[in-house]
Amino acid sequence: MAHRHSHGSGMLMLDTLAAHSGLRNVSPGLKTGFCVLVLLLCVGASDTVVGIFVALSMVFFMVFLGKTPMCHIVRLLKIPLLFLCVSCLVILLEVVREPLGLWQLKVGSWWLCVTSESLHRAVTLFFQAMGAVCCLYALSSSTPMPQIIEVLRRCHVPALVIELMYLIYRYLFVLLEVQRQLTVAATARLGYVGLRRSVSTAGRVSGTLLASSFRRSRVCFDAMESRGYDGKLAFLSHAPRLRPTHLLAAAAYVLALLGLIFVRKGWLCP
Amino acid sequence: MTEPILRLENVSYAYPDGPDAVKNLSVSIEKGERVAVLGRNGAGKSTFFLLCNGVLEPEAGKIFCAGKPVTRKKQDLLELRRRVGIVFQEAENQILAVTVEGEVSFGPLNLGLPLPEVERRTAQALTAMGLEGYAHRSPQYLSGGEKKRVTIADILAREPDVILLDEPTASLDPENVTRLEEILDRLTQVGIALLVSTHDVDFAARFARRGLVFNRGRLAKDASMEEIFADSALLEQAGLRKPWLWQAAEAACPGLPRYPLTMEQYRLWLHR
Ligand SMILES: Nc1ncnc2c1ncn2[C@@H]1O[C@H](COP(=O)(O)OP(=O)(O)O)[C@@H](O)[C@H]1O
Ligand SMILES: [Mg+2]
Repeated sequence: MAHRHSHGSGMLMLDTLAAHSGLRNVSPGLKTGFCVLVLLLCVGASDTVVGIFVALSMVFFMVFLGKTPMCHIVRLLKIPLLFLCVSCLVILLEVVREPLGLWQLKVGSWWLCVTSESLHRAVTLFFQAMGAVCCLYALSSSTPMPQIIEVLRRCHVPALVIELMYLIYRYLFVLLEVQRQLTVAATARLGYVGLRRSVSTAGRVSGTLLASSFRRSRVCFDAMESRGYDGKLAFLSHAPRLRPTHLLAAAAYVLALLGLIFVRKGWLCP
Repeated sequence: MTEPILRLENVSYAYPDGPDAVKNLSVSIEKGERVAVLGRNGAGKSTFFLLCNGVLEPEAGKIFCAGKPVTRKKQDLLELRRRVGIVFQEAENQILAVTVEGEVSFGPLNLGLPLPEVERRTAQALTAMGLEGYAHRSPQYLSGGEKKRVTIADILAREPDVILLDEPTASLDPENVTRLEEILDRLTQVGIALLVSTHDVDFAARFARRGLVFNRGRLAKDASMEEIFADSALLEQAGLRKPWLWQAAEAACPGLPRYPLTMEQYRLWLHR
């Protein structure tokens, strides 16, 4: 509960972390390009050691360069970790008629088995995915959303999509605040005592939220028009510049990663 | 005689599903004026503001901007919106961008100015509102007073002749109200006309020499603040009261035609 108030959860927490990240002065284009490239290499390599290397180095970047507290990273990683464990368990177990492999369990007339192949597959997949997840967290915990949207704009994503992303991102916070106020008001009147009442209160809060959003959208549009809006949404933005040292560091890391992949695949010594 | 910056002539407006929100309104605003717009909730103050800047189209009557009649042509509307800016009551409804700098630049960018000019105006507006270090901050993490200043910077960056502020004191604490008054004084010094709608008669008495009193969509009185507060029947009708200073002076010395409105006037009045 103590953390709920200072950082919120999920999206809000990432936003706060990005605003205070030690890497916020690195060019967002470089960070995005770097993370996407490493993610592709990690997924493409499909290798346990590469996955572990990427996951650990990304966590290292977040903690030592981004100065993100470890407890927040753990909190962020909890959800994908849970999801990954469940899906890897499914891959780990094979259902067969005959007992085979490293470990067996009889269920009715069937056997649940772990074979060395399924173990290998599950472990590889687990670390491959962990590496990928850590890449995305490294990007989103160090780069504010507006900067990522600007990068997408430069990558020629259609203007309509970009404008929608801006507005959704902006009004997410407005709606969250209204929702928080409604919830506090409902809680103060004991709207969240007991399951049945909680469900009906939550329903009513959502309804009010929708109605107030409609009303608000009209006023917002009036405010845009009064400032001369005529169909094109444009804002000034100053993203941090690309610095040669950052570029070199990123290139060095990618080379090292490529080297590791080559070694693991045995492509270096024919 | 020079033309007033903004003039409304017999303007009426009704929302699609309601009675007239503004009825037969005639008023003119001179350069650099300070006007308080008074009236209870629903009296038509916000509607009046939206008409002044062309967001709403009058059903009857005409609007003149620096002497030129405003038609619904895009060119005329953009010109009207350049000269007349509205600071909306709720900052949350006005703030659009995800950084303070982006937000303030939205207005000048819509004017189609070259980028260096947009940057100059944005920086200047931020400085004028005491927001120098805020350029890259996110609006959702600002306080109420800071958000209000961002919304004023928004309008200031368009370099208008008239700024309409819709109930700017409604969500501010006393410290921020004092700060707002200082900001309004500075805007007057650079020659911008200010119209401020409010329920706060004490604030209105300090702020303006001229007042517009709205009652049920009609302009009930357009006069000096002294005349307005001397008219008890009007105040009763429009749901207003006399400022505390006025009431205090009246209690001490009843029967005079007018009483002081500002602290300065009060001191002079005490030593009269
Ligand atoms: N968007 C709207 N749609 C319909 N009626 C409206 C709308 N906005 C205001 N009104 C009505 O118009 C009248 C004047 O409202 P408004 O100008 O907002 O008053 P004020 O700002 O003085 O409180 C009120 O009766 C109000 O109910
Ligand atoms: Mg209003």
